[in-house]
Amino acid sequence: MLKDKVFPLNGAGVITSEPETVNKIPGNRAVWVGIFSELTEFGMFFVIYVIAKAHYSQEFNQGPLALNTLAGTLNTVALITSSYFVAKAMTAIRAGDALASVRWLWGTVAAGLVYLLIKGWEYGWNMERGIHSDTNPFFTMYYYMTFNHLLHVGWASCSILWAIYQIKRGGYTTESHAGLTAIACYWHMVDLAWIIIFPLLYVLR
Amino acid sequence: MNMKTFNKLDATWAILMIVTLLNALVAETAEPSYLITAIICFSIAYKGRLVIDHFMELTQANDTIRNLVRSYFYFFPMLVLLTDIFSEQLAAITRLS
Repeated sequence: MLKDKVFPLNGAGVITSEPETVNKIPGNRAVWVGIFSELTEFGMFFVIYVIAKAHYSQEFNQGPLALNTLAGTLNTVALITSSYFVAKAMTAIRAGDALASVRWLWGTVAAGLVYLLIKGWEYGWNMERGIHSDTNPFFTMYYYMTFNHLLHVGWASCSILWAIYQIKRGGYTTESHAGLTAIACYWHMVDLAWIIIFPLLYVLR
Repeated sequence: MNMKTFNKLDATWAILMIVTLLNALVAETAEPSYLITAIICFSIAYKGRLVIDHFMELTQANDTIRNLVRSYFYFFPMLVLLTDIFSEQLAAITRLS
């Protein structure tokens, strides 16, 4: 009864053809080498953060109060929404709706652009208040982590643009879209890193 | 498109938004305490798990990859909480001179 077999998709709901992620490496091995390398890099930042916080508790207690929480929150909203758009794009390509997949990916690019614009505005807002990378160890961590993450959002956005191009030229189809899956996983990794960075810098004191 | 799938993704996004806004509320109002740190660390782990399982779709993917990515979101929130509780000891063992 293989014909009647169904597979869960995105945590719920079903499709009748086996998704490429079930019991397999999603996308390809190369992207996961990259993803784990990036997660290791961000992991080192987090270890340095907790050590620096232990040594400079006063600066790390006052630092988040000086930052623009609204900007950090809007950045989080933009990135989580972008991940949601990518998940919708994956669902659409599997359902055979390439046009919808492209639309969701354009939404992802737009959300990434919103993130970059907010972060640029936030840096300007900080500078006006005399918050620089050498102000104290907290702000050194803040600029190092957020600018590094910003670069990741930038080049991950370029990879989404590549995915849009590939779908439009027929490179990624309902039957064959491992490249899109790899790009989607990388984008989610960028979102995951921010899910830790946001509370470390803007919330915890 | 399957409506159930559509709803599940929407619900995941909505939960992530609510937790993010609650985090922002904590940032603006709460005084630092171990309880607040624990709640925030739990929210990091919870948000990470939602993205990993529902957006990244690792629930049924390769075991090694799923377990490694999930464990990242057990390890680092726990590290942040423990180093907050034992900050003096951490400072002592990481002092260079």
